Amino acid sequence: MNRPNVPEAIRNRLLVLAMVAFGLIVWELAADRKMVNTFYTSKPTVIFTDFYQFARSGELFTHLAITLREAFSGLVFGTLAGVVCGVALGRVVWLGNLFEPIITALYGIPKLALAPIFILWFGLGLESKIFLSALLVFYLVFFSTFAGIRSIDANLVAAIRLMGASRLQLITRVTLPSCVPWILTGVRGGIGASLLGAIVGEYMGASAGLGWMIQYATTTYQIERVMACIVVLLLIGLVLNKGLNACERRLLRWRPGHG
Amino acid sequence: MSGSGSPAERIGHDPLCRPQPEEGSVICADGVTKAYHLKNRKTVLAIRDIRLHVRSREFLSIVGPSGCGKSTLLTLLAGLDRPDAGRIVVNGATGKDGFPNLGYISQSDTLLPWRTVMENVEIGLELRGRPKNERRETAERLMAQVGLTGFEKSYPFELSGGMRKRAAVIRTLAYDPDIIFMDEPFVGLDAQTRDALEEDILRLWQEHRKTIVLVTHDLAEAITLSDRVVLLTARPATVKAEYDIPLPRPRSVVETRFTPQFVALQKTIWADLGDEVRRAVAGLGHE
Repeated sequence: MNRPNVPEAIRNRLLVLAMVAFGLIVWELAADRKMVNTFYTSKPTVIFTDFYQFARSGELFTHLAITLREAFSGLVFGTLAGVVCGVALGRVVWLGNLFEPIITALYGIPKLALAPIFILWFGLGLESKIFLSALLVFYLVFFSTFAGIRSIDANLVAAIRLMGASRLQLITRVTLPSCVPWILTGVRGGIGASLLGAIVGEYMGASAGLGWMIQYATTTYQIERVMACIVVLLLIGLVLNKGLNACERRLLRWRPGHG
Repeated sequence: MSGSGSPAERIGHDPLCRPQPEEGSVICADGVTKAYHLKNRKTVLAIRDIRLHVRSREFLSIVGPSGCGKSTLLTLLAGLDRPDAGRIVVNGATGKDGFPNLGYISQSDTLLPWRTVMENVEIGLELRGRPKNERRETAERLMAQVGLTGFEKSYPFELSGGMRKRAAVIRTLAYDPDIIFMDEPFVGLDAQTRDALEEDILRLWQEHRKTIVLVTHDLAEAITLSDRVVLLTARPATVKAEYDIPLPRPRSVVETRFTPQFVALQKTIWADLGDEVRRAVAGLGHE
């Protein structure tokens, strides 16, 4: 891979930061001169002050912990279920023929719209959000794993089977490793989806969490609090994507361009 | 050299294909027939009534015109597919669930891309649950034999085509199979790399003395490596003739090719093969 050399990388990073700072300054000035209505948009200094108080009081971390717990649980359960179902339906032909059309048909239902039902089924606690979050992740991971299984090089499977591999060994030595890139693609989408599931679940009915906070702050016109929560979500997304990039570099170093 | 003649009288009809029909025979194919069903519901007879014995520790090559069904025969012998008629006995087993402890080196690159070269060479022993230090030792020894030392931690994509082939060959040797099948293993490599790989195969065979069945359309390659060459006819393939290759061993790839004995063998077999190639080409015109 053609990596830019270090000074250039730093320069690019600085350019991006400068661009963001410029945007914030424009926003701030526009708000001061009443060119935008702070009732709807607030402004960076106020948002930052609120963010600081939000964090200092410890409230931020209480809500963040709840949302992250929901999203992470959803990501883990959804990924596990997606990989297991993807492998099972991809490997066992009759299972695939039976369930794949059903799963695909259910995929057509807008899942976020089902959030109120999940609240009804699983209550106002974490479970309903975890379920919604896991469901969103499941579909992403399932479809990409299933596609991965179907695209496995039959020659590889035949070669390893001929070397005396058992069915289980074929799955652990050939099927799963060859699906890793596909599973990671599903997980990459799943990170965003798991947060989305948690937040939307909280909108529908909760007593804590960043989604609940956003909902509550909006109804009480605390726009700076809404914005502070959005900043937190943005930071979470950034950190998780960086983490996944590091995982990919490690897990996919056998592919040209990932060294 | 035994020359041509009708296959039946040369091999001897063996309707029961007993486990040991001939002294030291490890593979016995009797009346093996296989047809393919195409998408347009046509059926193509790939091989017809093949009778073949492979002796223990013998290097046997199967040659024939392109597309004649050589590879089909090999997949049947290796138990990857079942014949429509006839039977195949390998090491006394009829292969209902495939045959035990075989090696198969195919045209395509079947190294596992997510494993290092070392891990690829080790996999056969790993599947057999052998301890790590034994696997490591075997892999290191074999890698040294084909000049792959220093590439233990490389991934297949970082290797040249020739190096990947070498890794595939020693990966098969590593778990010590009784019989190794090779399906045009050197296809797509340049001439020099092929020569070097053939040299490796000769050396490895000399050392490990495996039963090897090689399918190739390259007559020179077949003669260089083999103890015996079986010539198949154009499709539907059947055994046209067999030739013993009494060239002295150990052989050297390049030097052997310039011996009068080699040239004479090549002339004889080529005369028969040429007929079949012409028939195969004519046959293509009718499809």
